Amino acid sequence: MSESIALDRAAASSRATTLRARVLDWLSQYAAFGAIVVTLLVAAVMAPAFFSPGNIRAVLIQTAILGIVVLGQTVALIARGLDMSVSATMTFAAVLVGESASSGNFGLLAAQLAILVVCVGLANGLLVTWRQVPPFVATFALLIVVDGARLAYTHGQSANSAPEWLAQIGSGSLAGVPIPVLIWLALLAILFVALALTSWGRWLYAVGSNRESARHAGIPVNAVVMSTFFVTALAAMGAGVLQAGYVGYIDNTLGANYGLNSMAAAIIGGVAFTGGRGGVIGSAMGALLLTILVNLLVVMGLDLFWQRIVQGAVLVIAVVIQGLRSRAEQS
Amino acid sequence: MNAAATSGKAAPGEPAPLLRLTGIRKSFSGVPALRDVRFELRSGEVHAIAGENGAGKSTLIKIISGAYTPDAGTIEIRGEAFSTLSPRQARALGVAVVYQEFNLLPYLTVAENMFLGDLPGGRIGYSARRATERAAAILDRLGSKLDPTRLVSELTVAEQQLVEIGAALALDAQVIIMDEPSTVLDNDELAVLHDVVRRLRREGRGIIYISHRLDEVLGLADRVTVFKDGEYVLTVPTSEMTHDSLIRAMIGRDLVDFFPDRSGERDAKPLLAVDGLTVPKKIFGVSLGVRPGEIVGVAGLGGSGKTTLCRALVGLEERAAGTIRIGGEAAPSTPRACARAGLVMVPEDRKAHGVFAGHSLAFNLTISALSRLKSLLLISPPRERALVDRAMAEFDVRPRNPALDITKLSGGNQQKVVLGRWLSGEPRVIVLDEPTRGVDVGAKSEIYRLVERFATGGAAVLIASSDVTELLGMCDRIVVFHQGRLVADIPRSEATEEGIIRAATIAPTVSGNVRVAA
Repeated sequence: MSESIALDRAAASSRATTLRARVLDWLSQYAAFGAIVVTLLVAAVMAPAFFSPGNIRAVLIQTAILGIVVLGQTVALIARGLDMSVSATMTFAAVLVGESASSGNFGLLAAQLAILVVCVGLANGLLVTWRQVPPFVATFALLIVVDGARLAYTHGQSANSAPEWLAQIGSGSLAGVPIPVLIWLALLAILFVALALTSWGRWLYAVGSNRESARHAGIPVNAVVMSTFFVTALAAMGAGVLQAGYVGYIDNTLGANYGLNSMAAAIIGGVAFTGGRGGVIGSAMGALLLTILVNLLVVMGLDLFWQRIVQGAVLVIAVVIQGLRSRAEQS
Repeated sequence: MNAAATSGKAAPGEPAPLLRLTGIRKSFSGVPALRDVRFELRSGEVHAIAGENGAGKSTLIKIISGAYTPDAGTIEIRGEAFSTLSPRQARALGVAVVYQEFNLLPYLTVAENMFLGDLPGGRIGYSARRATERAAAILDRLGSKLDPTRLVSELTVAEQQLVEIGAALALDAQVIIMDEPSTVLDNDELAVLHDVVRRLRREGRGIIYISHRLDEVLGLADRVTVFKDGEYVLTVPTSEMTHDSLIRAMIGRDLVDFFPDRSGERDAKPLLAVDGLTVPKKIFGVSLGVRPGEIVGVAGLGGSGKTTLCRALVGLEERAAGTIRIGGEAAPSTPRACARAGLVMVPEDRKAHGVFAGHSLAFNLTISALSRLKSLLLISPPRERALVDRAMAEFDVRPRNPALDITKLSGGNQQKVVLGRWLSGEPRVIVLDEPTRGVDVGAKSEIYRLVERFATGGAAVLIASSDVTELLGMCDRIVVFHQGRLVADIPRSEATEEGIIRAATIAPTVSGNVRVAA
């Protein structure tokens, strides 16, 4: 009897002592949401044009495309990896789609896209698992190689227009919702469930939290790490194709900023750089926040350079909150 | 409170103790961790603090070293009374702590680490030569021949510990606190550490020594203070204590049968059969069998091959030669496949190889059992909760809060979670590497009972441990490693602590395995 009271008390105290940690944990997961609300309030005062239906639509579609890349990046970050090569994969995929506009050969396009994803995923995955190259170095190398391969393939020729069917997907709507947004939300839902309720999802967190414990616990660590690079490549490919459809043409800079932006969005959304924690809802918020901020600056007529400063500042704030969180947990 | 402080004053003629704490109280978020605790350390004394995990030992140390501020009470250091101490003040007053995890900088030399924060100056800034000389002098006083110019990253754990102790002497610390220094050492290294501690005592310093190993507490310390649930129990000279009386003081009751009863003969074919297993440079031609229901102990010094054997059994070490069979079938080569075949290994280093820090108790408990929790494609939350509830009850994990971060549990409870992770799958062969390291006495006894229950249920159990008492209490047979070879196989009836230690430390005169029992 007295023992059960003591147990209850102990449980209560552990809850109390972790309150600060919990607040910071919650903050780092959902700070992006609060920041979005604040930004929208600022927009309402300073730039009502932000809320024009056309602009809202643009923001949502841009968020969706970044958001798809972020989904992949989140998976990689949870397993304590990252993928710098997503921007190259995006652009290459878009170029392949652009070519299919003239050839009209869907089978060939599908095969080309599949080969692209498999090659990039396999190369990154093998370098990291088999050769134990740090993910940053491996994927940075792949970024250069894939960009180079694209230039060699196109002989530097860039501008191409997207095929008609794709332009309809990229800028079309279903029940008033832009199709890219629907695709993003569907993928988000799938990944949300996969992370929470599949072995693969749990393994990602375990591998990211402690790779050696994971090995001892009978988790196929190398296969899990390998899988993350296929997910990032697949997400980047999809985002590249959608981006081509939305913008309507393909050029050499189509994917340019997505590597860093996708990582920034995930980190802002509470995914830890040190692996093992975070989720897709938070990182989706991060993608939305980044997109809104950039768009707002454009709407307010601020110089483009300010975008970078604001993006950087937001990232710093996010990382500081994460740092406070891990300190609070250790005390 | 004032009265307590004055009554604690030393009688005239008697020197004030090095350190005296009176009426110390400390609560965290309203939950008391220490209640009216006292403690006294004399110079030239090794004073052990004993108690189960959560008894308040760590909190007390942190109060002495200034890391925590007590809610009430007095800290007297060499007669000077304080109500609070900052870490800086504590250091200046000569209090140094040698922590379980070392705070050394790996890419600086031994000498630089010892004098960090107070590097001896030369004509231009820091003088490496003077630091080296002074470090060598201190190490010499500790009876060590360690080269002060070596990088800390090249040192063994025992050598690093010595550097930490050396750093305490560099500050001329009078009060040296050692927080479970023996958990990271093997028996040879332990003897060296004990020698160092005795030298410090001879120099007139006071040493606070915390250890879970009772033989060590009784053999090394002059006095022991026991805490239980944050309360002071007693302080007595160790010469007046026995193993049993110490355990009784720590857990507040008699442990009538600390080790479960293991009697009854079994004869059957071995469930785990190892034949000629060789891991390059580590173990050579190891053969042994474990029958269903049998508990076999593996003894040996650190580095003798115990851990390598455990790891090789589940494919974590390269198996260059030999066979491993589980019930006649060849054992697979990954931990995952081994678990499927019914062979599990609970690793030695709980922190590095066991737990997933920052994740919940439930996550840690179920991570190896996910495939059993699925309905269709997805993990079923009700099934998961059922498994967690069952395992928490079966393995008596406290507190029973499945959402709690695993690192907030005591060492013993973390170990129960790790055991639960593996054993909830009802394996046929269980390999345990140091299953009770860093675990308090009460949890130890519970773990022994658990292991016994699995053996009674027909599992074959192999326990590697550096705690010979544990092996003697638990096992039907004990095999002994010496430099990567099995040198003895001793049945329970013939096993003695002396015999095992002799086999583990002295090379066999006859080459090959000495097979005492079939």
